Amino acid sequence: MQRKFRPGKSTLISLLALTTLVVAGGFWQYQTQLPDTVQIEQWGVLAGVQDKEATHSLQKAADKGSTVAARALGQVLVLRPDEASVKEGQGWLQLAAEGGDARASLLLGKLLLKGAPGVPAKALAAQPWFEAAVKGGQPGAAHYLGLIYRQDLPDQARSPEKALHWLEVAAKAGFADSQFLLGQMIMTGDGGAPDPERARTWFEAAAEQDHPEANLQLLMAYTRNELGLKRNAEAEARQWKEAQHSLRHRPAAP
Amino acid sequence: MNKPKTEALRISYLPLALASALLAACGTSDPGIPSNTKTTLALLETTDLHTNVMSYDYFKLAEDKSLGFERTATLINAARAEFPNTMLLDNGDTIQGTALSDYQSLVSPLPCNQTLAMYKVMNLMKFDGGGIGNHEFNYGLPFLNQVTGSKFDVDGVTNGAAPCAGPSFPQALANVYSAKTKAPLFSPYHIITKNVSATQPDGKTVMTSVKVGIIGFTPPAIMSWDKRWLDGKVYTQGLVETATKFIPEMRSKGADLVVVISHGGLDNSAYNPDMENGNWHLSKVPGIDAMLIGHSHQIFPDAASTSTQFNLPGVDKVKGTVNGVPTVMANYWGKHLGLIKLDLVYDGAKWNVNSAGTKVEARSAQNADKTYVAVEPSIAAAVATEHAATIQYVKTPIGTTNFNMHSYFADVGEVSAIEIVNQAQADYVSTYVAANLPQYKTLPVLSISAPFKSGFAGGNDYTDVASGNVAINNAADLYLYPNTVYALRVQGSDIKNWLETAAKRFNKIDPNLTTDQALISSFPGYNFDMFTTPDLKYEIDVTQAEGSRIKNLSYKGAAIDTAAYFIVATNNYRGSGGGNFPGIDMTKVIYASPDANRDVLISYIKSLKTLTLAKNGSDRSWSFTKVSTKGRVTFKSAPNKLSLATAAGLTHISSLNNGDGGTNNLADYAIDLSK
Repeated sequence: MQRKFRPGKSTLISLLALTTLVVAGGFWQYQTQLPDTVQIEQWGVLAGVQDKEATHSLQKAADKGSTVAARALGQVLVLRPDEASVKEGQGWLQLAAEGGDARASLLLGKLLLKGAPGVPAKALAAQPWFEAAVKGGQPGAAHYLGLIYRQDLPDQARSPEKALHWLEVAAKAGFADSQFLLGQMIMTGDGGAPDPERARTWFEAAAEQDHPEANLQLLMAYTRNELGLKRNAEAEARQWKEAQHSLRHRPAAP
Repeated sequence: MNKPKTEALRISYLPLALASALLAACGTSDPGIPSNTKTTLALLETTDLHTNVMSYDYFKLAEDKSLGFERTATLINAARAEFPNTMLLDNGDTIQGTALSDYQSLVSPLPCNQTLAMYKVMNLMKFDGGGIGNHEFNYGLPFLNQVTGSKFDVDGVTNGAAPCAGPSFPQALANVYSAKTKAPLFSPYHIITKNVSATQPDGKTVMTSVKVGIIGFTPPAIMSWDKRWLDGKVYTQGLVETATKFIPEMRSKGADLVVVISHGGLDNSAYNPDMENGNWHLSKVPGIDAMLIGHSHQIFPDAASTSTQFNLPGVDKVKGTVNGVPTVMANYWGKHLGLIKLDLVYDGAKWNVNSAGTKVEARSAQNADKTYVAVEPSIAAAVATEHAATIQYVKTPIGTTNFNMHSYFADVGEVSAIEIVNQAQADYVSTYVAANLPQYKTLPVLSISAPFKSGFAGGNDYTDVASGNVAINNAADLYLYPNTVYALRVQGSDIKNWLETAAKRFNKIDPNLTTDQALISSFPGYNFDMFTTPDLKYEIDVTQAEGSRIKNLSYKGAAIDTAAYFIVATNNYRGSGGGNFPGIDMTKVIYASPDANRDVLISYIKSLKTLTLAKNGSDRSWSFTKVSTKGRVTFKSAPNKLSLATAAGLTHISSLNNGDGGTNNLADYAIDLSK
């Protein structure tokens, strides 16, 4: 078979292009062409896989006062297993949050709510950071305010009404976990009269995003004639498989 | 004028990077045809096949005509008969999803020299290329490396001298990188020289070729979904940055067309590199001729679609375009075949799409009259051995039991179908905590579960596994729902609240009423969580109002310390707030395991081999608080089962009738709460 070469195209250049694609150098070369935030996010990804160079770059940018880098560095460090890293990460997150980075407020709130090595879980310490994050345009933080108000805490009584309010803020912003929990509260009449049809619309919204428990709820609703659904072999079989399938890729937590 | 090319360079899948390199090195070859030569190329998409090779349901051990690649293959044959030039491409989520895939990966792992059943039939149908979905990572990187015939350079993967058997078509994935080498895990793209018949301006038909670049993407969220396999070994990049980098490169290497194979759906919220469904943003990267998408298990185009993602600005659900780019999503499990017909015109230097001729559709394997298209018989023939072995596996005994495991009297305290589930969950969580969560290793591990089958749909809606052999399909009877094991760290007060919610299963009983009172409320059986361990004891006082029914809650003989911490093994539904148990939510979860409760149960039964009533079916944590009632307290179960209650020591149960023989097949029983 004879193959023709296009004039003006250099074999050598093409081979070089491929080489740079395959070796890491191509990656870095590409990175320098990206705007700052994207570059920092990519360093964050690499720092997450313990890449020393990327961690160093983040550190440098954070030291120079980049709020985004401080947040990205903090986000990576608080996930590490040792207390020292977590503490350092908490410091960076707090710096970024105080510098007005709402995403850092959300991450700091999550750290304090859930706890980590060296950081005890304290819902009420997390609460103001979530409030700041919501104000700063991170509706995902409303999910956690909903969780906090759904709990009975030693220093703050359970408030289903407030939980409903905040979960709805996050649910309307599209967070599947919030849609599911909101549906649960509405279905069981927590903080109001049970409203099965309204609960179902939230379960359906979450299920559309492959929320495993929402899919399971709809499956159980079909088998039990609940939420306005009726027994239907075909729908049950489909819903069963969807519930199973979605277990392997739940939508990201807020 | 050169002679028309009669043969294209067929890329062998093995040294793909090298083949691409050579093609690239050669630049664009001149097809030797005049300007204004025209052809039509139909891109055919399968997606989310999930190893549904056969139209078969391995849970029910029965045919299921509504799914299966053996029917999609018929749609493929029809499209190939209809269009002179077709390219068959798979979008991923291909190698996981049925008992067949579990059998070939976990039960009887595939030898290196053999090809997965799914890839075998795809080879048979001569796929031209494929992408990689998120589920491809479910069995870990070594398995993916093996079955795709790859040579991953990542930690934890060892490669033999030659790659293992795999698909005979190229696979592309551009946004997953080895942490070790920073190089893409798969070839990011391939430029496939596709032979086509074309029509010259003089009306003469010629054979020539079109260079079709395929580039693959998977959801970056694989890093959390398959964290246990991927953490620290690979990392992902965002769709838009990756495409912006590679597409010009593909063009410069002579790609006439760029076809994106992106496993994901559409989402127009603000772009970020981690987003799961980034294709709405991806479509805006210049230079994309067509997008094959998937992951969402939906149909696009579909004028009737109510799905949010297909009703976004820029999305034309009738024509099948996303920001002007022809796009198709072919449902899942082989139910549909996606099709994008492109009319191409040669301009003397390269092929261009004449968008006026573009047509996008998703073709169903179900006919208008609700019947299904016939199967392509060569598919079943090709995987007959694997199919039969999988059926055999599902029927294989995993252990034996010396007692009848049933849920007929679970509502009144019988535990023969519950305790084994709790034991399996506790064992699994204890092992995990000991190995991975040293900070919690001193905490007691308890386990809780509910009778999922408790008669709602009638007398047949109960768990009932006879004594004797226990097989995989019996495990489905013992654990009905598709759940995964979650471990929660809770305090004694949370356990009390948890049980108070579960006790809503009962109506409030008035001891002074002389008429019959039904014991069971409308509260679902699947939320009637119970412990089954001698360590934890409690009473349920059904004469009290909801919220005040749990009495004498004790742990190891002493009243439970409400401030003490415990680990409770349960499932993802409860751990995520399902059932709205107060205070129970994701913040309490210390381990969201990827393993299904049912699989954990199967492993546990396999490890025990023999189940006995004394060890695995008779430990009750709870009983009713004793009270004399003036009237009868009644409940329903399947007819003629009193002997099972008596055998389990529930001598305070009596049979009132044997049912009305009606469709629900339930009978009435009474319980004497004073005993």
